[in-house]
Amino acid sequence: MAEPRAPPVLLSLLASSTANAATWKAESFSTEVQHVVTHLVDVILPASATPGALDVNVPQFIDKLYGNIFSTAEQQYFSAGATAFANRFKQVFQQPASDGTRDQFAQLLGGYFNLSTQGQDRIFEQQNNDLAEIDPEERDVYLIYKFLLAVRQNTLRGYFNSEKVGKEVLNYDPVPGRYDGCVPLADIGNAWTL
Amino acid sequence: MATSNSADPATLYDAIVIGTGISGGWAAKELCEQGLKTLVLERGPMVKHIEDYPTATKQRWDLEFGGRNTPAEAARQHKQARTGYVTSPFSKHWFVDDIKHPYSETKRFDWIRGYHVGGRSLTWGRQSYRWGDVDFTANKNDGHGVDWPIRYEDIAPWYDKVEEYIGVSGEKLGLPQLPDGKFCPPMELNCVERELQKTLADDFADRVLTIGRVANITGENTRPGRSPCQFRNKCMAGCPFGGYFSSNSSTLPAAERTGNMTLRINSVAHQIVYDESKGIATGVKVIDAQTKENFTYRARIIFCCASTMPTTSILMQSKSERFPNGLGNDSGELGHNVMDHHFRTGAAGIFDGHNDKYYRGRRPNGIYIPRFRNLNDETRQNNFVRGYGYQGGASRTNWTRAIREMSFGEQLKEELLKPGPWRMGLTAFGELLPYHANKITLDYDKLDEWGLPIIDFDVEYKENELEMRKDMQAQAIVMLSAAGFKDVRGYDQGSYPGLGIHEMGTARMGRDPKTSVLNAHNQSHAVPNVYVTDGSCMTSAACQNPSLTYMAITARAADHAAKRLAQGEIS
Repeated sequence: MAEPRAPPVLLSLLASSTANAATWKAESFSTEVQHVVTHLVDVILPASATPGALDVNVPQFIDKLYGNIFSTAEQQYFSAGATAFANRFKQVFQQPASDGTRDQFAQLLGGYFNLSTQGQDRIFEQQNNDLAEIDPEERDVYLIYKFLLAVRQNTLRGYFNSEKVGKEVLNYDPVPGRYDGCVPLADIGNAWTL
Repeated sequence: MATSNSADPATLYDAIVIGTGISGGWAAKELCEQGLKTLVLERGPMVKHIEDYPTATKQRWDLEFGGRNTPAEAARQHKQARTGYVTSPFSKHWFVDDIKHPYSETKRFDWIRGYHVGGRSLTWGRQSYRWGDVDFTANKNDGHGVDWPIRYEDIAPWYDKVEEYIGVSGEKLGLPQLPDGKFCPPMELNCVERELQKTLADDFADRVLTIGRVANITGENTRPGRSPCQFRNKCMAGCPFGGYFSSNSSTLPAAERTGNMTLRINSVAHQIVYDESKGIATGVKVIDAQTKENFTYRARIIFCCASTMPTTSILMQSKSERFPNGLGNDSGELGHNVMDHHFRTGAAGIFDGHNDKYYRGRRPNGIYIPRFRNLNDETRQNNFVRGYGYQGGASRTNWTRAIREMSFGEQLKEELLKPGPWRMGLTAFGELLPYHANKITLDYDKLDEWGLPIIDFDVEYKENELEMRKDMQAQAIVMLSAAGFKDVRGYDQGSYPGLGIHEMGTARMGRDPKTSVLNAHNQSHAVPNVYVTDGSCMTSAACQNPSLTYMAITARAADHAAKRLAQGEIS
């Protein structure tokens, strides 16, 4: 089944929205999680000369994955991480995450993701452990990374596997008919759609 | 293909073929083309070429949830999922439900099965390599297992026949350990694969890199009902062009065209009926998979092509006063000597160069580095016998290169729309020796939904395989490093028997009825109108992918059976 397609007007609304992202009805997400995920997705892969993640309904995709594909453990981590992230948002900005703006989410996400390579490796290593193995004082941060990394990874998946990006942005050739092993990249351009 | 469930218990068929996979399809074609009225039994449902390939033209965005399985789906294919790839929504319908089709594991065995018309010929890797005399003489020369009753020259003309019919693309090399065949034009190597090829040619006198030999039609060639490969690399979904060989696209339609084939689906064969007064088999007992009704079908010859484990299970279940331990099991070897290939070790590296080059098309094939160990005195190894070959390939990385990162923003997006660095990986496939202790048994305390005993696996790698694996990894690192690859990393992900999906050996051919189950023509030593031509007949495993050899052996045995029948030597 194809991803639900939003009409162009709605897409432009989503792309430019800064305050109220709830222009679609989530299957599983709470209003707050929907708002947070929508803004994070937009920050991770924004629209520019090429479409952004909101143009191809990535928040809707992650909502569907959460409800249908995530294991119970993955759902629990995602949900607890979203709550920890929203709490952190409130501490930093003195307002609920459900009222947050794109700029505020970009600032908060940057605080977690703009790390040295060493710092990133330490986080990825820690993420391989179960919650019970994490020092109680680090659990909130651990859960926030569970949430942010799940949003980021599934933003990439949802974006690059989308029909619009696959057909209109990447190089789409469903029936190549031949294989040439060594051709100038300039003759091809963007990466092939898988 | 017409489905005919009009099989008739009152008819005496010339032949019954159990199974429709890569061996069963060939048995059906050859026997029917020789004029034999043939009943073909398939335990699963019909899969018609083209019309029953539900994902053949689907893209990832056409599948719900981006082509990922729900937890409920994953739970039903827990064991099939151990491969890491077959239960993708693009191909999961070609692999069994582990709960409906249980087996048990004294030791872990990854048994990957396809129960439907065409079997695993729909999903096979299509790599098609001849075995050489070094393989057919290996057991005799180093004393492991028993001697093959055939040599390369016995099977060579049948390789010719099979390759010409199925269409195998590849390059001739003139190597004795990997004899050349009847090839369609080779597929191209890409720029980075050519770099490694050149390094091996210049600096490694014993090694050569070639494009994989693969059962995909190339060039201007066609086959009945089949057109050349379109380079979509979606073979496992089933090919609407018939670009690669499967029973569904090729041998079963050929058998049907003769008018001699009756194909009965949903037919779980479980016993071969033995007539002690005549000393021959007279038929096959079948349970209808859906109605659970019992039938016995009669025939003058029986071809067991159910795939290695099911064929062996059927023979083991065929007990009689004469054969209390399974049909034709005077040697006690039935169910023993389980083999597969061990793999999932090698190396990968990044190539710093050719960044202005790319490729066009999705090649359903990789490279091959034929065996170079233990071929002669110069290549003799102290730590292990036999050898291995490498499969692999180079490609430019895609957006998934950024999955394990924390980058974000417009720059990330624009960067990931471009192809990433070239990466090349080599995975070695090694030979597993035939050990009597590696075996399957039937567990009559655990019955499946048809009341039949389930199979228990007791198979492991031993010292020779573990020693070989060290060299498999080390030489991959050596070759990639020599070719100037950067960040070369060896790996050994651990391999379990079965994962190679090349099960073999449980009803082996041999010269002596005391130590083997089948003779040089794949006849049961003790019941000569029963032929076994799937992987269970294999006496050793070599390191090459075995399907081409199953097909050649099947065609040879079918010719033998048809001639004996015509001459009245089989009643």
